[in-house]
Amino acid sequence: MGKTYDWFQERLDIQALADDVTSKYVPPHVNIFYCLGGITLVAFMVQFATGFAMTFYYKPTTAEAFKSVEYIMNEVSFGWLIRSIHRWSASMMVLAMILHVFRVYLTGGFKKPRELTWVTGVILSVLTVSFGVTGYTLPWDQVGFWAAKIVTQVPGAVPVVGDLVVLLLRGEPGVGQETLTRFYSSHTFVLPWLTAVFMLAHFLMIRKQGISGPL
Amino acid sequence: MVMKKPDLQDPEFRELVKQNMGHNKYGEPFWPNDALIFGVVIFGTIVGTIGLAIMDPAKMGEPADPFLTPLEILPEWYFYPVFQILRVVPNKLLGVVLMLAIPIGLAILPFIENVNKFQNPFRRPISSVLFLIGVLVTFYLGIGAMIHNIPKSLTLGLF
Repeated sequence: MGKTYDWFQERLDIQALADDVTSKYVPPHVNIFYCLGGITLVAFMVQFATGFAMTFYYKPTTAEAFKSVEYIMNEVSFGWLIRSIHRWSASMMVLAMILHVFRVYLTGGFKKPRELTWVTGVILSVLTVSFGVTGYTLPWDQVGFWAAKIVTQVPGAVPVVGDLVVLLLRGEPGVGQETLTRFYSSHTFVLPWLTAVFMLAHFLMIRKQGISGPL
Repeated sequence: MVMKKPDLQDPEFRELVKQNMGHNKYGEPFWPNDALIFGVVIFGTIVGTIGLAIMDPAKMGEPADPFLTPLEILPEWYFYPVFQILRVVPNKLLGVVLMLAIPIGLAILPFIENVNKFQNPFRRPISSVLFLIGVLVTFYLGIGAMIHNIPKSLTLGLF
Protein backbone atom coordinates (compact mmCIF):
# COMPACT_ATOMS: atom_id res chain seq x y z
CA MET A 1 0.00 0.00 0.00
CA GLY A 2 2.67 2.48 1.10
CA LYS A 3 4.95 1.73 -1.83
CA THR A 4 2.13 1.87 -4.40
CA TYR A 5 0.94 5.14 -2.88
CA ASP A 6 4.44 6.61 -3.05
CA TRP A 7 4.89 5.46 -6.66
CA PHE A 8 1.73 7.26 -7.79
CA GLN A 9 2.24 10.20 -5.43
CA GLU A 10 5.68 10.94 -6.93
CA ARG A 11 4.19 10.99 -10.45
CA LEU A 12 0.61 12.23 -10.19
CA ASP A 13 0.24 13.87 -6.76
CA ILE A 14 -2.74 11.66 -5.89
CA GLN A 15 -2.81 13.19 -2.40
CA ALA A 16 -4.34 16.30 -3.99
CA LEU A 17 -7.34 14.23 -5.13
CA ALA A 18 -7.81 12.74 -1.66
CA ASP A 19 -7.50 16.18 -0.05
CA ASP A 20 -10.08 17.57 -2.48
CA VAL A 21 -12.62 14.87 -1.56
CA THR A 22 -12.00 15.07 2.18
CA SER A 23 -12.17 18.89 2.26
CA LYS A 24 -15.76 18.94 0.97
CA TYR A 25 -18.77 19.29 3.27
CA VAL A 26 -22.48 18.71 2.74
CA PRO A 27 -24.65 21.51 4.19
CA PRO A 28 -27.72 20.59 6.29
CA HIS A 29 -30.32 21.75 3.71
CA VAL A 30 -29.25 18.93 1.38
CA ASN A 31 -31.82 16.11 1.56
CA ILE A 32 -32.75 12.89 -0.22
CA PHE A 33 -34.13 14.76 -3.26
CA TYR A 34 -30.60 15.97 -4.05
CA CYS A 35 -29.84 12.32 -4.97
CA LEU A 36 -32.02 12.40 -8.09
CA GLY A 37 -29.33 13.79 -10.39
CA GLY A 38 -26.94 11.09 -9.22
CA ILE A 39 -29.61 8.42 -9.75
CA THR A 40 -29.99 9.70 -13.32
CA LEU A 41 -26.23 9.26 -13.80
CA VAL A 42 -26.32 5.74 -12.33
CA ALA A 43 -29.19 4.83 -14.67
CA PHE A 44 -27.14 6.20 -17.58
CA MET A 45 -24.15 4.07 -16.61
CA VAL A 46 -26.41 1.01 -16.41
CA GLN A 47 -27.63 1.91 -19.92
CA PHE A 48 -24.05 2.23 -21.11
CA ALA A 49 -23.06 -1.19 -19.76
CA THR A 50 -26.17 -3.11 -20.88
CA GLY A 51 -26.27 -1.34 -24.27
CA PHE A 52 -22.61 -2.16 -24.84
CA ALA A 53 -23.35 -5.82 -24.07
CA MET A 54 -26.21 -5.90 -26.59
CA THR A 55 -24.08 -4.47 -29.42
CA PHE A 56 -22.30 -7.87 -29.42
CA TYR A 57 -25.45 -9.60 -30.70
CA TYR A 58 -27.69 -6.94 -32.25
CA LYS A 59 -27.59 -6.63 -36.06
CA PRO A 60 -28.73 -3.24 -37.39
CA THR A 61 -30.27 -4.40 -40.66
CA THR A 62 -33.95 -4.44 -41.55
CA ALA A 63 -33.69 -8.15 -42.39
CA GLU A 64 -31.90 -9.24 -39.22
CA ALA A 65 -32.67 -6.69 -36.49
CA PHE A 66 -35.86 -8.34 -35.23
CA LYS A 67 -34.36 -11.82 -35.40
CA SER A 68 -31.21 -10.70 -33.56
CA VAL A 69 -33.31 -9.19 -30.76
CA GLU A 70 -35.27 -12.44 -30.59
CA TYR A 71 -31.93 -14.25 -30.37
CA ILE A 72 -30.86 -11.98 -27.48
CA MET A 73 -34.15 -12.72 -25.70
CA ASN A 74 -34.21 -16.50 -26.24
CA GLU A 75 -30.68 -17.81 -26.84
CA VAL A 76 -28.02 -15.54 -25.35
CA SER A 77 -27.19 -16.28 -21.69
CA PHE A 78 -29.00 -13.68 -19.59
CA GLY A 79 -29.72 -11.76 -22.81
CA TRP A 80 -33.35 -11.37 -21.75
CA LEU A 81 -32.19 -9.89 -18.46
CA ILE A 82 -29.75 -7.46 -20.08
CA ARG A 83 -32.39 -6.22 -22.53
CA SER A 84 -35.05 -5.97 -19.80
CA ILE A 85 -32.69 -3.97 -17.59
CA HIS A 86 -31.93 -1.71 -20.56
CA ARG A 87 -35.65 -1.00 -21.06
CA TRP A 88 -36.43 -0.46 -17.38
CA SER A 89 -33.34 1.62 -16.76
CA ALA A 90 -34.26 3.84 -19.72
CA SER A 91 -37.61 4.62 -18.11
CA MET A 92 -36.01 5.07 -14.70
CA MET A 93 -33.41 7.44 -16.14
CA VAL A 94 -36.11 9.68 -17.64
CA LEU A 95 -38.20 9.49 -14.44
CA ALA A 96 -35.24 10.37 -12.21
CA MET A 97 -34.30 13.16 -14.62
CA ILE A 98 -37.80 14.69 -14.52
CA LEU A 99 -37.86 14.54 -10.71
CA HIS A 100 -34.33 16.05 -10.66
CA VAL A 101 -35.62 18.96 -12.77
CA PHE A 102 -38.50 19.40 -10.29
CA ARG A 103 -36.06 19.46 -7.35
CA VAL A 104 -33.77 21.99 -9.03
CA TYR A 105 -36.69 24.16 -10.07
CA LEU A 106 -38.44 24.16 -6.69
CA THR A 107 -35.26 24.87 -4.72
CA GLY A 108 -34.26 27.64 -7.16
CA GLY A 109 -30.96 25.90 -7.80
CA PHE A 110 -30.91 27.17 -11.40
CA LYS A 111 -30.60 30.83 -10.38
CA LYS A 112 -27.50 33.00 -10.59
CA PRO A 113 -24.67 31.91 -10.77
CA ARG A 114 -25.88 28.45 -11.98
CA GLU A 115 -27.72 29.37 -15.21
CA LEU A 116 -25.24 27.57 -17.46
CA THR A 117 -25.46 24.37 -15.41
CA TRP A 118 -29.23 24.48 -16.03
CA VAL A 119 -28.74 25.08 -19.78
CA THR A 120 -26.43 22.06 -20.08
CA GLY A 121 -29.07 20.14 -18.12
CA VAL A 122 -31.75 21.08 -20.66
CA ILE A 123 -29.43 19.90 -23.45
CA LEU A 124 -28.86 16.63 -21.55
CA SER A 125 -32.62 16.10 -21.19
CA VAL A 126 -33.08 16.56 -24.96
CA LEU A 127 -30.26 14.06 -25.57
CA THR A 128 -31.84 11.61 -23.11
CA VAL A 129 -35.23 11.59 -24.82
CA SER A 130 -33.43 11.35 -28.20
CA PHE A 131 -31.96 8.09 -26.91
CA GLY A 132 -35.56 7.04 -26.28
CA VAL A 133 -36.73 7.86 -29.82
CA THR A 134 -33.82 6.11 -31.56
CA GLY A 135 -33.76 3.12 -29.22
CA TYR A 136 -37.51 2.51 -29.58
CA THR A 137 -37.00 1.78 -33.30
CA LEU A 138 -33.96 -0.50 -33.12
CA PRO A 139 -35.81 -3.84 -32.56
CA TRP A 140 -37.51 -3.10 -35.92
CA ASP A 141 -40.88 -4.33 -34.70
CA GLN A 142 -44.27 -2.88 -35.68
CA VAL A 143 -44.32 -0.28 -32.88
CA GLY A 144 -40.72 0.79 -33.48
CA PHE A 145 -41.08 1.02 -37.26
CA TRP A 146 -44.28 3.10 -37.16
CA ALA A 147 -43.00 5.27 -34.33
CA ALA A 148 -39.96 6.09 -36.49
CA LYS A 149 -42.24 6.87 -39.41
CA ILE A 150 -44.42 9.22 -37.35
CA VAL A 151 -41.55 10.91 -35.50
CA THR A 152 -39.45 11.56 -38.61
CA GLN A 153 -42.33 13.16 -40.50
CA VAL A 154 -42.96 15.73 -37.72
CA PRO A 155 -40.37 18.28 -38.99
CA GLY A 156 -42.05 18.07 -42.43
CA ALA A 157 -44.58 20.66 -41.23
CA VAL A 158 -41.87 23.33 -41.10
CA PRO A 159 -41.78 25.45 -44.28
CA VAL A 160 -38.67 25.58 -46.55
CA VAL A 161 -36.28 23.37 -44.50
CA GLY A 162 -38.82 20.82 -43.21
CA ASP A 163 -38.49 18.26 -46.00
CA LEU A 164 -34.71 18.52 -45.85
CA VAL A 165 -34.75 17.74 -42.12
CA VAL A 166 -37.03 14.75 -42.74
CA LEU A 167 -34.58 13.46 -45.35
CA LEU A 168 -31.68 14.07 -42.96
CA LEU A 169 -33.39 12.02 -40.24
CA ARG A 170 -34.53 9.21 -42.55
CA GLY A 171 -31.66 9.06 -45.05
CA GLU A 172 -34.19 8.10 -47.74
CA PRO A 173 -37.70 9.20 -48.75
CA GLY A 174 -39.40 6.44 -46.76
CA VAL A 175 -38.35 4.68 -43.56
CA GLY A 176 -36.01 1.76 -44.26
CA GLN A 177 -32.44 0.50 -43.94
CA GLU A 178 -30.91 3.99 -44.15
CA THR A 179 -33.15 5.14 -41.30
CA LEU A 180 -32.26 2.14 -39.14
CA THR A 181 -28.56 2.73 -39.81
CA ARG A 182 -28.87 6.38 -38.81
CA PHE A 183 -30.85 5.58 -35.68
CA TYR A 184 -28.36 2.89 -34.68
CA SER A 185 -25.40 5.19 -35.28
CA SER A 186 -27.06 7.98 -33.28
CA HIS A 187 -28.10 5.67 -30.46
CA THR A 188 -24.73 3.97 -29.99
CA PHE A 189 -22.20 6.59 -31.12
CA VAL A 190 -23.37 10.19 -31.55
CA LEU A 191 -25.72 10.53 -28.58
CA PRO A 192 -23.45 8.75 -26.04
CA TRP A 193 -20.52 11.01 -26.95
CA LEU A 194 -22.59 14.19 -26.86
CA THR A 195 -24.06 13.09 -23.53
CA ALA A 196 -20.60 12.42 -22.11
CA VAL A 197 -19.39 15.87 -23.18
CA PHE A 198 -22.38 17.74 -21.74
CA MET A 199 -22.34 15.63 -18.54
CA LEU A 200 -18.70 16.58 -18.06
CA ALA A 201 -19.59 20.27 -18.47
CA HIS A 202 -22.57 19.85 -16.10
CA PHE A 203 -20.42 18.23 -13.39
CA LEU A 204 -17.40 20.53 -13.75
CA MET A 205 -19.65 23.55 -13.25
CA ILE A 206 -21.21 21.93 -10.17
CA ARG A 207 -17.73 21.17 -8.76
CA LYS A 208 -16.60 24.74 -9.45
CA GLN A 209 -19.59 26.47 -7.81
CA GLY A 210 -20.50 23.92 -5.16
CA ILE A 211 -24.04 22.95 -4.24
CA SER A 212 -26.75 25.64 -4.28
CA GLY A 213 -27.61 27.42 -1.04
CA PRO A 214 -30.50 27.00 1.42
CA LEU A 215 -33.96 28.41 0.62
CA MET B 1 -23.06 13.75 14.00
CA VAL B 2 -20.00 15.98 13.54
CA MET B 3 -21.06 19.21 11.91
CA LYS B 4 -18.66 21.89 10.75
CA LYS B 5 -20.08 25.36 11.40
CA PRO B 6 -19.75 27.98 8.65
CA ASP B 7 -16.71 30.16 9.40
CA LEU B 8 -18.31 33.60 9.23
CA GLN B 9 -15.02 35.30 10.19
CA ASP B 10 -13.36 34.10 6.96
CA PRO B 11 -13.62 36.96 4.43
CA GLU B 12 -13.06 34.55 1.53
CA PHE B 13 -16.04 32.42 2.63
CA ARG B 14 -18.26 35.48 3.08
CA GLU B 15 -17.36 36.66 -0.40
CA LEU B 16 -18.31 33.23 -1.82
CA VAL B 17 -21.63 33.12 0.07
CA LYS B 18 -22.45 36.58 -1.26
CA GLN B 19 -22.22 35.03 -4.75
CA ASN B 20 -24.44 32.08 -3.66
CA MET B 21 -21.44 29.75 -3.57
CA GLY B 22 -19.28 28.15 -0.88
CA HIS B 23 -22.08 25.90 0.42
CA ASN B 24 -19.70 22.93 0.30
CA LYS B 25 -17.58 24.44 3.09
CA TYR B 26 -19.81 23.70 6.09
CA GLY B 27 -22.06 20.94 7.38
CA GLU B 28 -21.42 17.21 7.46
CA PRO B 29 -18.08 15.94 6.05
CA PHE B 30 -18.56 14.31 2.64
CA TRP B 31 -16.00 11.64 3.48
CA PRO B 32 -16.98 9.15 4.79
CA ASN B 33 -20.59 10.08 5.76
CA ASP B 34 -22.07 11.00 2.41
CA ALA B 35 -19.77 8.76 0.41
CA LEU B 36 -21.53 5.90 2.24
CA ILE B 37 -24.93 7.28 1.21
CA PHE B 38 -23.65 7.48 -2.38
CA GLY B 39 -22.92 3.75 -2.18
CA VAL B 40 -26.35 2.94 -0.76
CA VAL B 41 -28.17 4.99 -3.44
CA ILE B 42 -26.08 3.55 -6.30
CA PHE B 43 -26.61 0.01 -5.01
CA GLY B 44 -30.34 0.60 -4.47
CA THR B 45 -30.82 2.05 -7.95
CA ILE B 46 -29.10 -0.87 -9.64
CA VAL B 47 -30.83 -3.53 -7.52
CA GLY B 48 -34.23 -1.86 -8.01
CA THR B 49 -33.79 -1.78 -11.77
CA ILE B 50 -32.69 -5.43 -11.91
CA GLY B 51 -35.67 -6.36 -9.74
CA LEU B 52 -38.11 -4.62 -12.07
CA ALA B 53 -36.44 -6.25 -15.09
CA ILE B 54 -36.85 -9.72 -13.55
CA MET B 55 -40.46 -9.15 -12.47
CA ASP B 56 -41.56 -7.61 -15.78
CA PRO B 57 -39.11 -8.54 -18.59
CA ALA B 58 -39.17 -6.74 -21.95
CA LYS B 59 -41.42 -8.37 -24.53
CA MET B 60 -41.10 -9.01 -28.25
CA GLY B 61 -43.48 -7.17 -30.58
CA GLU B 62 -44.57 -8.16 -34.06
CA PRO B 63 -41.96 -7.87 -36.86
CA ALA B 64 -42.17 -4.55 -38.75
CA ASP B 65 -44.61 -4.56 -41.68
CA PRO B 66 -44.46 -1.36 -43.79
CA PHE B 67 -47.80 -2.27 -45.42
CA LEU B 68 -49.80 -2.75 -42.24
CA THR B 69 -50.46 0.46 -40.27
CA PRO B 70 -51.33 -0.35 -36.64
CA LEU B 71 -54.66 1.10 -35.48
CA GLU B 72 -53.32 2.59 -32.27
CA ILE B 73 -49.72 3.57 -31.77
CA LEU B 74 -48.23 5.13 -28.68
CA PRO B 75 -44.65 6.27 -28.01
CA GLU B 76 -42.80 5.80 -24.69
CA TRP B 77 -44.73 7.21 -21.71
CA TYR B 78 -42.58 10.33 -21.40
CA PHE B 79 -43.61 11.41 -24.89
CA TYR B 80 -47.35 11.20 -24.17
CA PRO B 81 -47.86 14.97 -23.52
CA VAL B 82 -45.88 15.99 -26.64
CA PHE B 83 -47.59 13.27 -28.67
CA GLN B 84 -50.96 14.68 -27.59
CA ILE B 85 -49.91 18.24 -28.59
CA LEU B 86 -48.89 17.05 -32.07
CA ARG B 87 -52.08 15.00 -32.41
CA VAL B 88 -54.58 17.59 -31.19
CA VAL B 89 -53.24 20.91 -32.55
CA PRO B 90 -54.88 21.24 -35.99
CA ASN B 91 -52.05 23.29 -37.51
CA LYS B 92 -49.03 20.98 -37.83
CA LEU B 93 -46.54 23.86 -37.90
CA LEU B 94 -47.99 25.26 -34.67
CA GLY B 95 -47.64 21.79 -33.15
CA VAL B 96 -43.93 21.67 -34.03
CA VAL B 97 -43.44 25.20 -32.65
CA LEU B 98 -45.17 24.23 -29.37
CA MET B 99 -43.00 21.11 -29.16
CA LEU B 100 -39.78 23.10 -29.69
CA ALA B 101 -41.00 25.73 -27.21
CA ILE B 102 -40.63 23.21 -24.36
CA PRO B 103 -36.80 22.82 -24.42
CA ILE B 104 -36.23 26.41 -25.62
CA GLY B 105 -38.50 27.79 -22.89
CA LEU B 106 -36.72 25.68 -20.26
CA ALA B 107 -33.30 26.82 -21.51
CA ILE B 108 -34.09 30.55 -21.21
CA LEU B 109 -35.98 30.12 -17.93
CA PRO B 110 -33.11 31.08 -15.57
CA PHE B 111 -32.48 34.27 -17.51
CA ILE B 112 -36.13 35.29 -17.13
CA GLU B 113 -36.40 34.27 -13.49
CA ASN B 114 -33.23 36.06 -12.41
CA VAL B 115 -35.40 39.20 -11.95
CA ASN B 116 -36.30 37.63 -8.58
CA LYS B 117 -33.28 36.40 -6.63
CA PHE B 118 -35.26 34.30 -4.12
CA GLN B 119 -34.91 30.53 -4.31
CA ASN B 120 -37.80 29.66 -1.99
CA PRO B 121 -40.89 28.73 -4.03
CA PHE B 122 -43.08 30.69 -1.58
CA ARG B 123 -41.05 33.84 -2.26
CA ARG B 124 -41.60 33.57 -6.02
CA PRO B 125 -45.33 32.84 -6.15
CA ILE B 126 -45.85 33.60 -9.86
CA SER B 127 -43.31 31.03 -11.04
CA SER B 128 -44.55 28.50 -8.47
CA VAL B 129 -48.16 28.85 -9.66
CA LEU B 130 -47.05 28.60 -13.31
CA PHE B 131 -45.05 25.48 -12.37
CA LEU B 132 -48.12 23.84 -10.82
CA ILE B 133 -50.29 24.76 -13.82
CA GLY B 134 -47.60 23.41 -16.14
CA VAL B 135 -47.50 20.10 -14.26
CA LEU B 136 -51.31 19.80 -14.34
CA VAL B 137 -51.44 20.59 -18.08
CA THR B 138 -48.70 18.02 -18.72
CA PHE B 139 -50.65 15.33 -16.84
CA TYR B 140 -53.87 16.35 -18.64
CA LEU B 141 -52.14 16.03 -22.03
CA GLY B 142 -50.43 12.80 -21.03
CA ILE B 143 -53.69 11.14 -19.93
CA GLY B 144 -55.39 12.46 -23.08
CA ALA B 145 -52.75 10.75 -25.23
CA MET B 146 -53.87 7.38 -23.87
CA ILE B 147 -57.42 7.93 -25.19
CA HIS B 148 -57.46 7.02 -28.87
CA ASN B 149 -60.61 9.02 -29.77
CA ILE B 150 -59.40 12.64 -30.14
CA PRO B 151 -62.57 14.56 -29.09
CA LYS B 152 -62.92 12.25 -26.10
CA SER B 153 -59.23 12.73 -25.25
CA LEU B 154 -59.81 16.50 -24.88
CA THR B 155 -62.43 16.04 -22.15
CA LEU B 156 -60.78 12.85 -20.86
CA GLY B 157 -64.24 11.27 -21.27
CA LEU B 158 -65.46 13.09 -18.16
CA PHE B 159 -68.09 15.33 -19.79
